Amino acid sequence: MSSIGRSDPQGLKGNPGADYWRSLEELSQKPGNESLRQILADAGATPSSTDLNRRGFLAVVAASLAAAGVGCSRFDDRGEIPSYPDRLEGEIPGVPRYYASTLVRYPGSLPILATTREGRPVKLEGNPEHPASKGTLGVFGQAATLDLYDPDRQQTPRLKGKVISWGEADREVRSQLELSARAGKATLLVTGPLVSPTARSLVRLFVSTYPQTIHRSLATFHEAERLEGRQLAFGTPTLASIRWDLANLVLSLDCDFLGVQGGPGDETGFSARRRQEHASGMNRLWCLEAGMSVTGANADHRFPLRPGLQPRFLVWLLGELILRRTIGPLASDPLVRQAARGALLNIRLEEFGIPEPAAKALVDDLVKSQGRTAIIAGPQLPAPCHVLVAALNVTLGNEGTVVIPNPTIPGSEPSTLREWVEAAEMMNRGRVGLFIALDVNPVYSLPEVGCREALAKVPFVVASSLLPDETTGLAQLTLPAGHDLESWGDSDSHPDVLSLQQPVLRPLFEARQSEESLLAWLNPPERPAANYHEYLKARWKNEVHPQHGAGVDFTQFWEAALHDGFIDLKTTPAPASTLSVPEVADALSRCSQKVEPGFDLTLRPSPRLYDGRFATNGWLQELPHPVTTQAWGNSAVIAPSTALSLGCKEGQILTVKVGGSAIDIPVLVSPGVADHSIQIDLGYGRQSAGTLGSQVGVDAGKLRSRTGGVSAWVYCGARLVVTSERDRIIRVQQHNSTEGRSFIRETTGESARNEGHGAQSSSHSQAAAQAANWKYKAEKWGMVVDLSACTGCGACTIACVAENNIPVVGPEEVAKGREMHWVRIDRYFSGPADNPSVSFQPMMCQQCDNAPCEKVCPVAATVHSPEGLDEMVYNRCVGTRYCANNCPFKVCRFNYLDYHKDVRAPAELLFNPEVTVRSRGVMEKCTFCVQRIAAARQAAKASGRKLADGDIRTACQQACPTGAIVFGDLNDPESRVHKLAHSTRSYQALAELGVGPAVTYLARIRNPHRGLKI
Amino acid sequence: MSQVITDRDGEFRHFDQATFAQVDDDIAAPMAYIPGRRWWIALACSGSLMLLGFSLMAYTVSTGVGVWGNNSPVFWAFPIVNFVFWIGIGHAGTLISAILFLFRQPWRNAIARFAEAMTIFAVMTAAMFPVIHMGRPWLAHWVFPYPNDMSIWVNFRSPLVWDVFAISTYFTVSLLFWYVGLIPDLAAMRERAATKVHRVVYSVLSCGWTGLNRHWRHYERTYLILAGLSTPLVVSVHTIVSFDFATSVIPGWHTTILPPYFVAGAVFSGFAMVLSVLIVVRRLFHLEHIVTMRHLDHMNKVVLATGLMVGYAYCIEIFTAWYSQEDAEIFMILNRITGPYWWAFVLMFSCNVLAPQVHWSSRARRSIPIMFTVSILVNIGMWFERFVIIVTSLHRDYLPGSWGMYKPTLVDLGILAGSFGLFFTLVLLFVRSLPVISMTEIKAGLPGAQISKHARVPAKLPAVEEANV
Repeated sequence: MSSIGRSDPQGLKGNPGADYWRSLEELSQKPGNESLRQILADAGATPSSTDLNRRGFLAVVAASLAAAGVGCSRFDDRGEIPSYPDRLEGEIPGVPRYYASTLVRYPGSLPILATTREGRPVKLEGNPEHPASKGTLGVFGQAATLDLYDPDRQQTPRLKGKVISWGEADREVRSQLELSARAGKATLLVTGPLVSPTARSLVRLFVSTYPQTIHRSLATFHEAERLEGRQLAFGTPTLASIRWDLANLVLSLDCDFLGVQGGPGDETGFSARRRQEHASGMNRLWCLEAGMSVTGANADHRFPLRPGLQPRFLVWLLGELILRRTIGPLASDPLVRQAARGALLNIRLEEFGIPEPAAKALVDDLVKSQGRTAIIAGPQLPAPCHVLVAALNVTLGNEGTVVIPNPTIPGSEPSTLREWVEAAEMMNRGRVGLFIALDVNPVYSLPEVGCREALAKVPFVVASSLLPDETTGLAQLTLPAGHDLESWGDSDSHPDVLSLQQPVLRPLFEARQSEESLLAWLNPPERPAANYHEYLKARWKNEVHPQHGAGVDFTQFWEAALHDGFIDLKTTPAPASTLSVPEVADALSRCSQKVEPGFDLTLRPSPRLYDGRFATNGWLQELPHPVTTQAWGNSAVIAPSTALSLGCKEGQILTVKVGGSAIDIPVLVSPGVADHSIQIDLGYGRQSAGTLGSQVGVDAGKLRSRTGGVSAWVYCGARLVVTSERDRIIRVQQHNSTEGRSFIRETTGESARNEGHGAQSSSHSQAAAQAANWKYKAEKWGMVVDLSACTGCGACTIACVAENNIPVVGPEEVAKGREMHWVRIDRYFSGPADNPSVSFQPMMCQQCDNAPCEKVCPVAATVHSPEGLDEMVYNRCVGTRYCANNCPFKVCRFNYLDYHKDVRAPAELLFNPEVTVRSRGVMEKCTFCVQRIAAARQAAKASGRKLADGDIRTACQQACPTGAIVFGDLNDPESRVHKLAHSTRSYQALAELGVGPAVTYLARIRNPHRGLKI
Repeated sequence: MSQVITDRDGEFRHFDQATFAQVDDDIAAPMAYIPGRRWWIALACSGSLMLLGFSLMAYTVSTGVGVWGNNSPVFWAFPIVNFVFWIGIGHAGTLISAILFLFRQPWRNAIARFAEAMTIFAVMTAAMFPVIHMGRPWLAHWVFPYPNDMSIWVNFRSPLVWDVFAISTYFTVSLLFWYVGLIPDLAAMRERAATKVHRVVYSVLSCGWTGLNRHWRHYERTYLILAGLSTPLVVSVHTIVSFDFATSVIPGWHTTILPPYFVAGAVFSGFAMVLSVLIVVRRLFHLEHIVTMRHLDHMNKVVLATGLMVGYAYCIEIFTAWYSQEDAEIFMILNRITGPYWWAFVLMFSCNVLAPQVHWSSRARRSIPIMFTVSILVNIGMWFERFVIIVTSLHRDYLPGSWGMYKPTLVDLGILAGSFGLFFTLVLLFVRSLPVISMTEIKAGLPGAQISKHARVPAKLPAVEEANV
């Protein structure tokens, strides 16, 4: 597999793909070469042979290795994918290269920097230059590489199960397009929400070429309610983003903006103000929510509030502000005042279960921080709530200062439920002749319109997707789509930037990105470019460059954009708009409706599988839920009081009935959930999600209905029936209390300001004295974990998994307590069970100076490095497991079985070559990313300088969206880690044991209202 | 007292009039004839258990220790419990053969050989566990400090390395001690051998013993030296095994009382195991006149005494935890008693502390059913003592976030059963192939055996005294 026409790249550019062929295989696929095809097939070298014999297998492995090997594109993009043996200037085997790109996602794309080793991406980091993420990357982004190398990936186009070539597939689609047009039937083109301007223009072109086409975009979780609310309130379609740097006070009404409902910038922005050192002081978070989310866990004041009461609370709050405190423009508006008075007639503060002093403190806080507050409500709340949120933000003067309206881009939002209902009707009536699903799984994602049944009425279904799923199962033609890392694209999902996506390796197998397919299905006369890369480039040349590339020619502009991964783009700000008073009055009355009897069900995006698209991803399946710590499954999460009144225990199967639908799902009892409320994560219970994800958990999407809900995700009046059956719930953490021990320390902002909070204890100095027996002459590596900044999201765990080749062990092993995560996040509850405080503590190897693990190993497989690391020598380990027993932090992980045994091609390409893949019978643990230390040292040495502070960043540190983890040299008094480790908030966990941990925790600061206890 | 038993058994012989030949005949009797059905049934049972255990061990080694219930945080569980249990069983043998020998306790003669054999078998059984317990048992030799081309030494700070030395020394010395004691008997067996094969085997094993004065002198010196060498091992082996726990930082393990507590427990469980097996063997092979009620009575006194020591240790652990005022220590004790494994603690306490209390009564000490029941209970209790120490300490240590529960798998249970299978198979083979009671020592106690004041045993065998009562 050598690259095309290396000697004549210019000529190729002029006439790409004409009659060139890259290999005999490709040549054989061209018409007229049937005999060659036969010869190759006889030789077993066709990579598409279905029953793999040995030669076929070797051919596929060789092909995928070679494909991976030749993958990298230069940032200066020659329009070709060069062969690795003829490597590029500066390319040194063993030295990683980095490419800026974008994971194009809705609602927020993830800017990345892909680390490639010998042509294959092995690790993703956030793009440090990108304003949206500032170099951090959360769990979904970190886990993306695993999908790239998923052995279950679709490998070739298949027509009714038969392997065909891309040429045949394209001809088939074109003929089906014509067929359906001739029959006067519609073509339904279903994509995800188009956050890529180039994809939008391509879809527009496709629709105009095939006018019978109806385009629908699909997302399980979207902003439609918020959008509608703001549209009603202000008359223009906008969505709000928050200026976290200005927000002194945040009130979240069931919005998990620090978790799965936030974008890449929200966590980072919010947590920057969680530090007292911040110039504007520490912010305060009030949170009212039905379930216990990451956001609630991080709140200074949190109150459980069932979804049925949430609209009423907004009414109460608005009434309080404009009637009692007479604040803001609405206070003087008779219409609103009257509506508020009317609405408040049947609303009492008591019904919310919020103590009166707390409610008063909240209102005081809001009044005090006018213009410096952000009030946000979850996207699952119905539109009238968002009208009231807008009214509240206007009342407090936040709109336009802290809450910034951003105009939505036409075509980038997903289709509404009404549109889907219409589409399903058309399908059911037989008016759709062709259904094309591109990178979406409508059969799983659209249960409420009966997509599965409707698809049966469509004569021809085309599904292009990375992995086989429910939709490909029903499709006649299945196409292997490209992964984000194999695709070209762009994204304007973040205000003020246009992100660029470039492939970092050539598609594995025969994958082809869906946009490329869409382009290929245009007949040659209408086809504007030979491939999507050309199309993208042309659009950038014609539309983007003239506006933004002032002063530079296009090539330079393009190469700079590829290098940076984005360009700055001034989005036109939303026009100033005024609040619509009648709409507020209307919303007040609509939100003050009585609560339905029964239970309130909220269907949540899973913080691990999101809408189910990551069900195939073992890393995410195995990553415990941040609050319930459940892995490999979902559950109906209810409050202890609800469990008591229902008479059910954890693991008992509950029948949840909403309208006419019902599911059976095991119960998980979690403190802090609102009474009369059930929380279920969507995204589980996939029927066909490969070897890993099928039949894991319960598909709560079956409860969704077109009409029954307050919104698509909130259903009031659910009925629960307790059954006598039980099911296993896999919880990684079984004990919730700290038992009053002091390894987690907290203080309030107040006391921290006044007296320093005294987290330093005498035992700290004792351990330090012990450590002083040994002098670290050069570096002494240490880490600081700021419990105030940590939100418990789990990005560090996944980053560590990706960096250190940590295996997925599967549900059985996790149930036994054998998960392999080197850094885990312990979650503790304190206080009352109905509304506890939550504390998170990332726990990794503490690299003790006086390490208990080192002392007890009979074969000296854990030894102390001169720089203070507890080094684990895998090759020497015989597996007595004594080190793990003697570790007071229990951070050693043991390979009880050969966990890498089931790694199938091409998944082994994902392994980080810098880190040993551990065999069975061997202990492993965090090494402070010793390979990164070595690499940084080599780089420093090569450039003839000393290691500087910040040269080395551990994988967990780099991923952490809130910068809670700092690594460096404790011997360097100027280093950040040294300064933080000696700050007043610092303490060491279990320092009283005298083990001398090299990890220092910074006590968590809570910032409660002065008059309230937390 | 003995009359009752002898009446019941109907096998009584007057040993004071016994000739040396009669002693030989009685003791060698089990080896002379083709074993009866009961022996074969017993061997079939224990042999099947042993094979089950071996196949499960093979399964473990080929698949990984993940087939057990061990997890994080309970990295050590059944296999280490079994290891400590079997090592403890071995202690009675050494105590009886070495310490009681040095203290000139002649009643030991009747049971010493048997107890020594049990020591050897118990240590063999125990020694399997650290090996199969390793994640990579094929590299087990790495725990020995042998010269190698990478110049990697073992970690002498690790109690596991001390264990390696302690157990290998213990095994070697016990084996030598046992074998040296066997030599005169083997020579006697050689003389009695019916077939050529027997004669050749016994000839080789008896090292050319002809009963010369020189032979006797060397033999007795060697025996005395080995007894002297074995004596500290009684204390050291289980002390060092206890260091595995005592030197760690885990609450419930990190205790200075562990070494004496472990040694007392080991003697306790060892005597219980010897009792359980001996009661059966003496009955089956009609050795009631040699292993008499007085022997059993003495052993029951040892059981009672060591049981009290163990009970003291349990109580002092609770006191220490309270006295330390350490959260983790206090929690550990409360968790042992009231936590999810409370039943293991109750089982341990009632079997080890309460059950032996019946032995304050001499009637109970001389009742076969009672002492047999107590000995079995003590065996169960001592197994659970190790379970309590290992599992309940590990499953909840310092950070509650890492706490977990342990549940054994069928493989764990199968290997435990297999270890009993191995032990009893060895015992059964032993009783058919070697004299279970030292003929030499019994004969030395017969009237007329001692022609002069001798450095070895007193002239009178207590068994004979009793038989005369």
